[in-house]
Amino acid sequence: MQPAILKNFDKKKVGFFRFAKLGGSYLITNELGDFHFLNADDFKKFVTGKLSSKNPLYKKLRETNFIKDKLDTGYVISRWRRRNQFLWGSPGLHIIVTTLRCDHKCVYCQANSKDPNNKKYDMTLKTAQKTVERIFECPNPNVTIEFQGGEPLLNFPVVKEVVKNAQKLAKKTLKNVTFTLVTNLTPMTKEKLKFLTDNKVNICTSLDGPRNIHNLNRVYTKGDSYANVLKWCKNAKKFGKPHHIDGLVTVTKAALDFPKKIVDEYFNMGMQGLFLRPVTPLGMAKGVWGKIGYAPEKFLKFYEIALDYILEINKKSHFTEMTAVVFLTKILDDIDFNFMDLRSPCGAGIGQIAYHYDGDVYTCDEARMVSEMGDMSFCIGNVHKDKYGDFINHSVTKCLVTSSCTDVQTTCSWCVYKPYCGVCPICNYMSENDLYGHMPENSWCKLHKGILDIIFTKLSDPMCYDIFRRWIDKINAGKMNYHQSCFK
Amino acid sequence: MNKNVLKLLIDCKIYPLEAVKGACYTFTDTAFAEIEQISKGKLQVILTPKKESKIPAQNIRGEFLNELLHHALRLKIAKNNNSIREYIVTRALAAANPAECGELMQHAYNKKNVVLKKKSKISKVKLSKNFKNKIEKAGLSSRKGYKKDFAGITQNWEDKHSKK
Repeated sequence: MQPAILKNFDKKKVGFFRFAKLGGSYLITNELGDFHFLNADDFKKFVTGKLSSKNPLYKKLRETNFIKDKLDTGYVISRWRRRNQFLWGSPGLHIIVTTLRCDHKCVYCQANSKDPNNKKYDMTLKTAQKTVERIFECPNPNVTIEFQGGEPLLNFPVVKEVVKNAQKLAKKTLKNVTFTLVTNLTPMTKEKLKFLTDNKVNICTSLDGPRNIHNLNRVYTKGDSYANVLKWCKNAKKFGKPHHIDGLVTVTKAALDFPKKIVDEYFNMGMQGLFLRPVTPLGMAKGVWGKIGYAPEKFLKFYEIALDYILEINKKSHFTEMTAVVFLTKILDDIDFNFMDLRSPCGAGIGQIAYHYDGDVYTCDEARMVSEMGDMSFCIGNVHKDKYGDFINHSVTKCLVTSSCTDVQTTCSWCVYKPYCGVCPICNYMSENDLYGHMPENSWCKLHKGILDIIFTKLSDPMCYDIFRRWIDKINAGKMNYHQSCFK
Repeated sequence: MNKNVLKLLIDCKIYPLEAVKGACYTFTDTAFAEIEQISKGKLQVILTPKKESKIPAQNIRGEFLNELLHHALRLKIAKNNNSIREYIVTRALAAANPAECGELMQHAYNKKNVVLKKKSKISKVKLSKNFKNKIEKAGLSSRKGYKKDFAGITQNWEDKHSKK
């Protein structure tokens, strides 16, 4: 006998939605990212059309188009476009690898960094000029240039050349250009900091936690990496807002037992928040995964403790966690934070492009890292031989776009978190040898689902909801800014 | 033979084959799944629990049947909303005028914060003169290659603006 929920399904009223059991309730979401928590009884009534129209829940479900008898298609179409407005854009994030040289030997290095004295791994000025030309061929009126490495400050002449050329071309083409530099801060000097501040280059660094954890992960043979980061964070403050330094945390096995200490480290430094990221098995990290890696469940346990602690802090102060913020902008609003991994399709080739020190062009930074492991599958051209049109029309770009479209992913297409999530085909390729990936056993899927489970569980608590809402309202009001490099 | 192997008989009149496949796929981190046709309209699902399964062996049957019901419900929801979803996404993607897109987005943003009143028609949304000028300046009003690339995503900046 057919179950009642299938037999009595109300075809006329029930709009399209996805659902999953979360705790004791049903979480339901729709294509616009709206959501509700329903108990089992209300869920059954909603699906079988037995929810009374006088019930306040009925009104909420109708207003958010879960009940479709008075569907405003114009409104729904408009919001769909707003949530997916990146589809009408072109690459806005351009990552320039100025050098592969680095003075650190981070245990999870994904860039295959080279000896700091070996200048054959530097981008030349000619390649830098060609790279900027290619960047400004892209039709996007808003350009973000992010300097990566190795350690980009070790090739500072190229950083200066790119900044100057880009500012010139931006003026000529009436575009907006912003800059970000990702650095370990060791080669920083007052002169470099002044140039970066004068030219409004945002700075992003890694601070993995207290001294013992940070120095364990980020090995600097000539000194104390942690002390250096602290020194320059304090110096940057002298130059005032907005050119503060933002920090990222890469969580390795060593950090899993210290979530609160890591949060305290950032809070006590006066940072406005932190960005907790799990370590990924790319580059060097893959070879030492047994020492630094962990199962997704362990990171999720760490993350929940850290987030709970941050929410406690927010009872008196403002302090955010960026992973949560990126998801919350999609959950509580229709903001596109341009986080390339959390959109469908992902940003590879169509949202971001990476330009290597030798002029080779890749669909994204992960693709560049894969090339450093000897696999050139995701190279889409070279700045000296090809133009922007060649990069975006490349078959590899199209392949990555297709394989990152969650509507065609077996598991993603019906997942309750589809409106907020995305896939990285290159991470799938590296871990499963398959661009599409097998989601039931996929580590990234488990991580994203787990984090979203935690966030949605907290959203059902009014106090946490208010804090999360405040975070998003500050972004909307422009009072809180995280530049691109912290969340590409 | 593994003593924890489960055999479930499924009536395809109640649970369509697609729902059975969906539930089996979801369970591939928990068990090896085989689907066999026993007779017309009847399937047998054989689940062999994996060592690394997080679901205790005694709960797999119940969890699988729950997942099967959920998938069957998902198929019903999708089937009954197929046309309207296609309509919405097609309209959203196929707008010829990117400027209309921007105005619509603004309309949606403004409207999102008020209670829904009446149905609005996209054709009645008027573009403000100021907004039209912004679109022109940003070079988004080009209609070249409309059928292939109406938004000019693959067009070089120089090709678009060399005459200006």
